[in-house]
Amino acid sequence: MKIFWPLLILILSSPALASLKVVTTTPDLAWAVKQIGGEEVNVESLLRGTEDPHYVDAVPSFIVKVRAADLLCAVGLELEAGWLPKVRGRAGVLESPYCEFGRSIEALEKPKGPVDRSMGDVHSSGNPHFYLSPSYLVQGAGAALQELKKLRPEKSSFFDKRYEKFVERMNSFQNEISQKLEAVNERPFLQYHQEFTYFFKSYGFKSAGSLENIPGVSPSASRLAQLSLELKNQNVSLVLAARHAPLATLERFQSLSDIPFLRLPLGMIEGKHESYFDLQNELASEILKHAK
Amino acid sequence: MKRAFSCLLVFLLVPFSLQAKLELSLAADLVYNQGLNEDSDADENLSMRSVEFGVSAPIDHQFSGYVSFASHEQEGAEAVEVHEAYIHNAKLIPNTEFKIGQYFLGVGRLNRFHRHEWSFTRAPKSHRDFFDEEAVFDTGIETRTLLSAKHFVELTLGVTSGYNYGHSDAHEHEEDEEVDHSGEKPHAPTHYMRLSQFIEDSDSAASGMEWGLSYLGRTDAEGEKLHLAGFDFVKKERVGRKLAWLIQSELWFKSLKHSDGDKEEQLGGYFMLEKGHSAQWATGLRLDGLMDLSHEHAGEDKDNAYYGATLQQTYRSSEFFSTRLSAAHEFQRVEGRTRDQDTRLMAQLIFVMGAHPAHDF
Repeated sequence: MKIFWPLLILILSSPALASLKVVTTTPDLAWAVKQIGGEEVNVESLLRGTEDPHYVDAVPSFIVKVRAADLLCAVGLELEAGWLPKVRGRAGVLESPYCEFGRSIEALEKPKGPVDRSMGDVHSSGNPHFYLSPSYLVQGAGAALQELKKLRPEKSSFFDKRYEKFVERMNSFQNEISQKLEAVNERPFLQYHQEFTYFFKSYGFKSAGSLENIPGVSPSASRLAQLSLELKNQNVSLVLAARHAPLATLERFQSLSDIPFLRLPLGMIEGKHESYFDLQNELASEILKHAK
Repeated sequence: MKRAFSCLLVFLLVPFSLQAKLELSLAADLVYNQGLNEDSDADENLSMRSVEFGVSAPIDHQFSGYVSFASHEQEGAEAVEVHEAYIHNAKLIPNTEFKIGQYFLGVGRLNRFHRHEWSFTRAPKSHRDFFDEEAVFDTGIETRTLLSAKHFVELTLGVTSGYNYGHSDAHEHEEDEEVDHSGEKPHAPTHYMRLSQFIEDSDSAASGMEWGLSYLGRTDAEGEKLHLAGFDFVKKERVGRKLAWLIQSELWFKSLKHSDGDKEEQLGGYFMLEKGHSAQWATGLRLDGLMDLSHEHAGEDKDNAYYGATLQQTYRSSEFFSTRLSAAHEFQRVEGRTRDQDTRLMAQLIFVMGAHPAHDF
């Protein structure tokens, strides 16, 4: 009996039994890590999905959460370049377990040659908005799988099995949504910023380019006028934009080109989407409702 | 000579940085002041207020380092000075980070940031009088300890040499003249603390507010005792790329007891509200006040109160370039009379090159 309490304390405090604390930058990544880690992980996202993940400050609460994490996972491809290095530095976790989903994917729109700021919001490692595509999110989650296996080698087969199931579910889900969207993907789609590139590719959409001439820079009036003329005979279905894309610009382009626009979430929103499937279903149903 | 030295340093560091993974950044702050009335002390000169060159990198597996040099130009004089040079650690002590070296003292709001990062062009009167035109820096040690992870309550404690107080007197020196930073040994070094809390918005992690309570004390070589107590507040509401609302305020009480027993007490602060119309455009209004609370001055021809108002329009082309046009009016009220009215227009241009600037809250 004398050894009961010390033994209980030892068992409860054993790191092998405690779930891993994983912090991700976006809710989509958090959901993906949870699919792989199951009950072995306790996942929290720094962002709630309502933010533009590039234009975020290194707020003090992030430092607290990152400091307490066993593993930090980010989108990468420089999406969080403005704030995550600062958070990691202040939290003292620069050498701690860290994964970037972006390192596990074959990034699209990777610029050839040197990149400078005259090119606008161009990411030297490629377009970071891959997590709107189920197949790319799964690819990216491979980075998290590797880190989880390093942290819990004894659970490697558990994580591997869950990852395999995750891949199957996501592929099957993507096929299902693709079939639904076939009804509208004959005509090309335009995007405001290059945020739907991976989404278009995964669901077989034809892209008519983007409204922005220089990534990250609001299109000028002459750009809108010129593009509306260029696209006049291309039968463009819709302009897809992020929820916070400037309404006045989109309305102006619609009046010039007669092409309607649709503002959509670019990721899961906490409190609104229970799962990534909810997000994708919402995107698909909105597109089906509004596409010409 | 010093400018040539700085250029040489940059040329040497750029190729070295590619090898050593140094983060290099350069921020330039160009300002023009135009007086609109006779009393205005605007210099009516377009000048490069500062060019700041910053270098940061891990030093080893535990420490990181940051060094910044700034070149200031004022009334034709120019000087290069070390703004900050410190090592930082966030690993050795649980929930605590510390820095040792020269840095801007971690009190209030404005004093913790480089001037080119401020939300307005010119410091409020209270900051100019209680701190400096820019910010107070000194050499010492500063710790930041997280007291409550749940409610994000943080305590900053610091002690610095206190030989000097202020930014620097470098601006007043002619080019190439040696600047004396040595000062005199104080009776009590500069010591300070700040207790702060951050509250995240329930809808967006990119929005939130922070408040802080600060204290700073120092007794100089002549026995002059300085006490500063202040409250600072900042609220940001960000919608996508747009900073939809910014509210920022500081209120400070200053007590200065001279060695002959005379005591001065002042209360001052500012309140700023800025509305973002888009990711590029924002309009702001700042109201300033500074009152002399020293009763023995009430009957004499001494400063009783300053008031100021600044209306500004900011255009941010990107995170790396912004311009600001401000109209400011300040005046002093003494014994019921208005005097020293200063009405001016200010134009500011800031650009940043090199490493991506950190998005600090």
